[in-house]
Amino acid sequence: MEPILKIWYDSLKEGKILGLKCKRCGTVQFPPVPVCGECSGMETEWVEMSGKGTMYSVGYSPFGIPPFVDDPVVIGYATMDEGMLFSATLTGAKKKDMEKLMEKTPLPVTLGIQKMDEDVYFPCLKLGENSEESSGK
Amino acid sequence: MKGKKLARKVSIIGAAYTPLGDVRETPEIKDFSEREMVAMAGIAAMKNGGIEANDIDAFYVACSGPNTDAKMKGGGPFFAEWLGMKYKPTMFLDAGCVGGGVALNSAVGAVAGGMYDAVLVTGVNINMSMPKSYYPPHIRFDYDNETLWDNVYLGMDAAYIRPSTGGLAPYDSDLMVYSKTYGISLEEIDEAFLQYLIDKRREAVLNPKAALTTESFEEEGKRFGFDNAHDYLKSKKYNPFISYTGRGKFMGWAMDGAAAVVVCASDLADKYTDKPVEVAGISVSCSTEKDYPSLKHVEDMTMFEEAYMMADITDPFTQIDHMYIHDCPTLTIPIIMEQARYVKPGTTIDYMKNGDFTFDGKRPLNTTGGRTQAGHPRSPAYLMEISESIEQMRGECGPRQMPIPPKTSLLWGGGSGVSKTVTVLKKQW
Repeated sequence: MEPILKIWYDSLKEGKILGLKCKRCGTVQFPPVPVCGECSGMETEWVEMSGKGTMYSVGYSPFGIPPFVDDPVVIGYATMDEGMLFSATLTGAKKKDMEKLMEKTPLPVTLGIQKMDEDVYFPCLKLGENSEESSGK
Repeated sequence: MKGKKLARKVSIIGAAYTPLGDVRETPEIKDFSEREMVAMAGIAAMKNGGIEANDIDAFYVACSGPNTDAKMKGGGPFFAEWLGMKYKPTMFLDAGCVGGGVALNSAVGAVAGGMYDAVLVTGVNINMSMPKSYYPPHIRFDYDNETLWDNVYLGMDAAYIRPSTGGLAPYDSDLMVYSKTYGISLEEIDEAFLQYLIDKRREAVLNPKAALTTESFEEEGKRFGFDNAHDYLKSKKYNPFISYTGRGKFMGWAMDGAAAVVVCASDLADKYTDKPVEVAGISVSCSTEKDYPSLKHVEDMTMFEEAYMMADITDPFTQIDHMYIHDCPTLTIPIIMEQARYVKPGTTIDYMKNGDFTFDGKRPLNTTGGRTQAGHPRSPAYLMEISESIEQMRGECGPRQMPIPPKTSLLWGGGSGVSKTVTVLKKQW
């Protein structure tokens, strides 16, 4: 067994977003866990996520992301291209944007990396189909 | 577990809960610690079931956040002597607000498997004050800020910083999808929830155990200068939004309480009572996310399917008369109710705004007054509602009695983490 959390969080600091791919059926677990949720396979290997997904809904956290972010955040709910559901801060979105975003769903999103504090980086969601498009927002 | 039946039929023979209130003030529970609360509920449940401790083989205790809130670890044995259960097997369990339900389903499994003939299942939380470490627990103190926030956020999955498991954002997500799917505006949904609060307050006022709920929302609104309950409940000052779709009063109203249920093998139940209730279907599940693009919550759908197969329920809309949905927050109701098929898809909001979810309405739901108005004791909540289902079946609810007592009751509960459980109860006499 590897120190999965440490490997994943250290990779985020280095700018990489990783998942664990099942060697038996190919399903990627993201965030990573050591037993495949699809086929129960117990042999996995690290892979880099495509970073692409489709957002289907939004939610609002007025209390931010404790203990890291105090300001309110909009959270995006997406299905990643690898198949799993993932939710994270939707960067740049405000509460007043939420219903308009909802009208336009499903929307393409990409994964970014957000610095939460000196020790912790975490994925976030950005609107757009590729990182160049979303980085301009 | 899909398709399996219990190896031995299991019944509930007795159930009870304490008044919900504040142990620092509420007369019936004044100066109680967790010990007295569990004993009060346990004794009442045993008397209700016509059984004594000597005939009970094991007891389970559910308590949410025991280290922080009750200043205890592994606390099952602490309660043993208070219930006459010295030396008996015990289990101490934390599954957040559904702890009582998960403990109940474990007890049902143990009795069904023949390990025990009768189990006393209890739940307790004192939420409005806390004891001090190593002190006798009847001496209470105000919560400090750190413990207060721990209460909320320790139920979040910190491994992957999942805010979804701790806040209301995933409920926003669900309702956004629900609104878009059925073309019902968020304003209409909000109005319906306000009517729901008014209806549940009416029931809680009729519930003698809801010790802190003494006036209708019309009366409360008048005290604050409003002509009617709706305007009061829509006000920014008294009921602000705390997420995109959720208002403050849509959350459970934290109170102190305990509840207990006696689970017994069905073939032995008539030794103790002539009104046993069968645990016809059970299921337990978990999830670290609470959000789905198509409103199909995999864990909830699986639980309903399993429990219905066990209970021979093929058409819940006609076969189920009474339902409990853990309504902390109320936002969960449309999705869960429709996944349970207690109402047809897309119809919850209509029922809700027409006041049909009352004890005397078309689809009785949360007839105690629910978590927002009767009170939210956390771990004991599910057991409290089991007690309500049984009282409704036995015709013992007084002014809250359903005009036609139910024959089949469905319960759904969820708690921090998220743990979830479903139970189907059937009248046996």
